[in-house]
Amino acid sequence: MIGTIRRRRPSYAAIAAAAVSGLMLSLTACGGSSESSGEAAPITPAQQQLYDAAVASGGKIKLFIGTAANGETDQLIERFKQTFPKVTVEYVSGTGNEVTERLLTEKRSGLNNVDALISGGLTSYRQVADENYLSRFAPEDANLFTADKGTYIDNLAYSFGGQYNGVCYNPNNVSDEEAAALKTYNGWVDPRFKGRAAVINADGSVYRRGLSYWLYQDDQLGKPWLEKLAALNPKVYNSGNVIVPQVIAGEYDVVYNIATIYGARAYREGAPLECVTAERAPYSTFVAGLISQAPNEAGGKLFINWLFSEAGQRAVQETWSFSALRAGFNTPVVDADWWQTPKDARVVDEDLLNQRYSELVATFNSLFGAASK
Amino acid sequence: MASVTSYVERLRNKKDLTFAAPVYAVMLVLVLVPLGYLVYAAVQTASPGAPNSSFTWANLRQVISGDAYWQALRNSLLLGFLVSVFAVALGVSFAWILGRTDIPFRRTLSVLVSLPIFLSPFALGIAWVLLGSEKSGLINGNLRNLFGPSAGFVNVMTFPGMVFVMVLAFAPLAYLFTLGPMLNMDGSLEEASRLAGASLFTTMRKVTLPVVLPGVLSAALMVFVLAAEMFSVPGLIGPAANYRTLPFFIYQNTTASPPQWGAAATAGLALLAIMMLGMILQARATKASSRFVTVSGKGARPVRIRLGRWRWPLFLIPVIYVILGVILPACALLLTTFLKYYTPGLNPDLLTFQWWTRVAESPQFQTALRNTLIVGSATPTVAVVIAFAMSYVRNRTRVPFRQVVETVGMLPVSIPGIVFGVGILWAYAGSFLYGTIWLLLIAYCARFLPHALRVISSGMVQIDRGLEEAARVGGAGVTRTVSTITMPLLKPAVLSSWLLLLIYCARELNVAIMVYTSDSQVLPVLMWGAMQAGSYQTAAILAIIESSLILLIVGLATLVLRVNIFPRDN
Repeated sequence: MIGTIRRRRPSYAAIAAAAVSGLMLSLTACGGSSESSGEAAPITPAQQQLYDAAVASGGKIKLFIGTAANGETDQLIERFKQTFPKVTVEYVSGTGNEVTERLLTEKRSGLNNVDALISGGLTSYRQVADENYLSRFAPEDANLFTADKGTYIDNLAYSFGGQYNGVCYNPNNVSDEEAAALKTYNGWVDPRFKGRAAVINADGSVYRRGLSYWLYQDDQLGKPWLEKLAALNPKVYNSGNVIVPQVIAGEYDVVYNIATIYGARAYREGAPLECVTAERAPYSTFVAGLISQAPNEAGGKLFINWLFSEAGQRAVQETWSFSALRAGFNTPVVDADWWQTPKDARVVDEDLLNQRYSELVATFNSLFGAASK
Repeated sequence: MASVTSYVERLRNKKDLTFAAPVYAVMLVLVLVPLGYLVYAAVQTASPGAPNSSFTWANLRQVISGDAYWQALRNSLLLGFLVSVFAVALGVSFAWILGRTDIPFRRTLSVLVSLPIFLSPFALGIAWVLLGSEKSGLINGNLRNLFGPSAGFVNVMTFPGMVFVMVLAFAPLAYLFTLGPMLNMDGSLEEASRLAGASLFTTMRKVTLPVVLPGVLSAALMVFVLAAEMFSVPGLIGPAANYRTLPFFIYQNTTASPPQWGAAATAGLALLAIMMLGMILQARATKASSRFVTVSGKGARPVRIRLGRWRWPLFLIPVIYVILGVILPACALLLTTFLKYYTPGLNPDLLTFQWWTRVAESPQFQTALRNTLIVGSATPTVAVVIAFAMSYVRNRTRVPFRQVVETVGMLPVSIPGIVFGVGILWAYAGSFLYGTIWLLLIAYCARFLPHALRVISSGMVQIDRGLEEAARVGGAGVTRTVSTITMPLLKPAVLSSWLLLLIYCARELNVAIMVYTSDSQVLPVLMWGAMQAGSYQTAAILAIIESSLILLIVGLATLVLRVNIFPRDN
């Protein structure tokens, strides 16, 4: 016998890979239209001019966005593209600190690949402006927006949406009585919530504002109240994006110092999450600014102007679940019986926050333990 | 005649030097420059590229006097030690059970227990967060549905949970490290023990293990280094478990407000010193194992040990591992991708394709996938070429400092990925490469070069110089000799190291998390971002896509190129 011809056995890796790839491809091919609905809004002449210029500059807009809520950001961008289909929008997201530091590193390295920065609070913008990386630009309808102290830097950065610091809870795991108690600051520190709660620390711009207000601005709360909150031994996180899915899934019953917009988002999804504020709710804004030497300056202006337009404000409210700040926009973010636009909302003193930020972090860490994720 | 010979020698040395010079330059750029910048960063006041940075010892004082640093260091060492012990114990068990005994379905189980090598540890970590969280995990959720509210005992968001996940990730590596010595062992040694009356386990304990001990030690040290320097799983589970390791401490320092780049670099240098010590010990253990006689010359073949009544109980060990390390994680990831919002209950009303659609349509995903494919295929190609050149200089030339080539080339294996990323960022932050995927290519080449160098060097050493000298005597130049003699003989080593590097590159996060920019995101970075955003569905989809990509390429390479990166059972 000269030899036998042995058939090579098929590789299990190849079979498994082919099966999984086929499944993957078929599933992605099932992609239909995205969730967001709504018709394209009419374009103003000024927007048309910027739109044409943005397309002529390559048609790509690059944003740095100081929130990690990528699903919602994708929906917001989808709404923008319904009106301006010939431009694409790419973004880098993360906490305000992360995107600001990344922006500064890239700009210092000579990279000019960002058109606009969209982030919470003004601290990031002051930092970026100090190094001359912000361009002078005021949105088209800026005069229709809040002029509260701490919400804008003239000709550089303007607020377009707002959110409140409150508490979110899973209604399946919290009794009606407990839910009612969470509408007051005394109720927040009820020992019944010990071992069932989480809290957001001072890393994120929105969350540090809440803490700063409670610790330094509200005479009826301050450190004694924060100590009572710490006595509940809540787990510490630095982002609402991480903790909210866990509250929905039941890992925690309550999370303190959370932006109440999460409740609006969960309401639309049908997820078990409700969010409320207590009396004297701290209030934070989200800000937009044009970056210097933007690769598509017209595109950056177009996007910012759109955010401040009626159509953009509606999109901000319906996708990001921020409260629209444009005058005349009085609709609630969601039509839910537990949603309150707080009657007594307090703007956070950002100067005070900046002066005492290190002290705030040290106080928080000493009361609640080291920062978690 | 003597003057002609010395003239030829000088001419050859000159040609060798011409060839070696670019190799030295590449070594400098890839390895020594980032290391140098790491030292520089440790004594600077500001961030990379920031104006008005100045010299300071404050970073060193801050790190040395800070409790957080020492605690993180202790945590890393303890984690590395425990993961190493358990992963190696499991890996050696697999090697013995699958390599030496007669349990059923050996070949199938061999493939299955190796599968986690193709998955990123981060993907495995995500899967176990979904499976094993105390209140919201799939396991406890379903146990409670079946047995009542007090049922449910799993909590992976703890230190033991973190060790568990990392053991699952590293056991296959330990298995592959020790399978070779197990397979090549002279079976007559064990036979003699059994004939003398020793039981199965006594033979294993007193004969088998001591013989393969150097290989086991080598595996243990390698796993220790990889576990101690790992960022992804400790970054995912550690904060909730209140257990911070040094790589995570370094990362936190770079993302704090304001960022502490100097402290991050200083802490990185300390971690580097420990890892280098580990790698030196590992290299010595490997050398010792190569001198250990496990292969005899007279036709001795490894004998399959008949397990008798232990056959099916021992069969369960790899089966349970496959369930915990492959099947359950894959199911958890797949299920999560179809949930409207994450919940441990199985509710058909929540099933949706929306997340797959969103990911597929997302420009970020498309960019990251493209970048991953480009970097994942270009890096192995470049790294293998560099490794070949380095190996050739080391083994086939007489240029000065050629012994240093391999040492420097192997250096990155002892540099923790995140630390290397900090050095790369400082080195290139102001250059034209920053912000491009070519910087990722450079970083990955440097990081994974040692793996290619190890394989190719081993292969080159085994090629008899006489073959090449015969070609040179016959009139062939260096290029012709290399292309017609050396390369064909090295082809299996080159292909298998190319494939191995592709796997590493596709799942690399430690370096990428430091170096990526808006234009150079890759899939693992996107996955990290998705978890930070609390988007479990997106993270699960990306994990599945990344793993499928790797499996697909490995499968194609196995079928088409006949590449095999695993030791064969003869």
